Amino acid sequence: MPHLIPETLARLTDEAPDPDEAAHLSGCAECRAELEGLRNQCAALRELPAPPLPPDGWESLEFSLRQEGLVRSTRRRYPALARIAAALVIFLMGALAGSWWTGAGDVDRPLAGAHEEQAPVVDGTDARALWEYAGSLDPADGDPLARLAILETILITTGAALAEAPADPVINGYHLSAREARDAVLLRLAERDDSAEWF
Amino acid sequence: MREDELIERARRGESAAVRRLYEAHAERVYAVVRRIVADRASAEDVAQEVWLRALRGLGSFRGESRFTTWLHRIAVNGALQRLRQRKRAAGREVPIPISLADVRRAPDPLLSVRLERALDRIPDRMRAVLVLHDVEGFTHEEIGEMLGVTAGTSKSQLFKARAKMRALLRPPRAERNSDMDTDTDTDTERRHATPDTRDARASHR
Repeated sequence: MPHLIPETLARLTDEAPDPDEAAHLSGCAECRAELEGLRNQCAALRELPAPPLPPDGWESLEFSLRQEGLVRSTRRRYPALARIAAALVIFLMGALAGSWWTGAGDVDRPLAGAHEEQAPVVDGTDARALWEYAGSLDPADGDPLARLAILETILITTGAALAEAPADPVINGYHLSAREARDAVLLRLAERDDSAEWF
Repeated sequence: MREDELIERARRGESAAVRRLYEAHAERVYAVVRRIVADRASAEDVAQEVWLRALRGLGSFRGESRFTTWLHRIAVNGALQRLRQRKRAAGREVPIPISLADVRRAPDPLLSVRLERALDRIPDRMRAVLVLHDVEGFTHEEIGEMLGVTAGTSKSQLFKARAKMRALLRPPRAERNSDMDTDTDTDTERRHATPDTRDARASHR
């Protein structure tokens, strides 16, 4: 008996089979396997992550909308008294912070957060060391998974550093290079596994 | 705040309301556009144009369909229009390199790469239906409304698209319908052209 055609199997991922189709499926392991593969494919498609939005999406849209006069600001105007009170609070907080900083406060107590402020997540030297290590793994003959792992580490590290210093050209350079290298490794792995059974 | 209220305020041009609408729908709109046009630079451009068109035409939204359906109709049409322009400009369809930036967040990036590459090889309108139904979860009625076709046509396109995807994702050694990566919709049927095929086709709903 001929197999069910692929479009029929594709329909059966959503709908119940009619009696003939059900009879065929119960006796045909190949069609059952195909149906299972299609169900897994649908599940994998549902799990695909949404591509990340462009970072300046809203800003550039808002710019265009303002140019066309399609939006107007809805910022609330605070009463004069509230604005004066807010300015006073900010002034007092600044004065307190200043006196503490210049030693008027408790001099023996370490400044909270000072260590974190002085130690960035990563600097250019760290990024370069990681990058050189990744480069030492031969992209042609080495284990691509090992290279992928180190490139991931670089991306996480430089990504964290960029959150602290988004305009740093050195870290940006390493981050972009690592991303390109990582993409190349991923593509190579995907091509290498073209013959693998996925579903 | 309810969405209809938000839409009303956005219609009056309140920036905060427009932003909330954008934040609620931008990711999904961009995902659909990105997967239909298949390259990031065009997707950003089209998504921006989709939002401008939608917000310019917000006055024409009467609430007869869900806002997300109305918005996605603009998005899908904008993306398909871009594909048509690109094909006209190129004279032929050119393969578009996949961007891995989109699949980094996947639990299994390699599988995601393969799925995205297979998606890129499916004919445009079939891909649109597959993305809208199997990835984004829209119903056939909603997809029919977006694409200007019946729900039945949407279903039939979906089943063909799924079958093509399956063929593209199957390893080369498999024998069943391994030649499905062309744009001919009837490849699969030709391969199984037997008297019973007609019965199976008749069973499509």
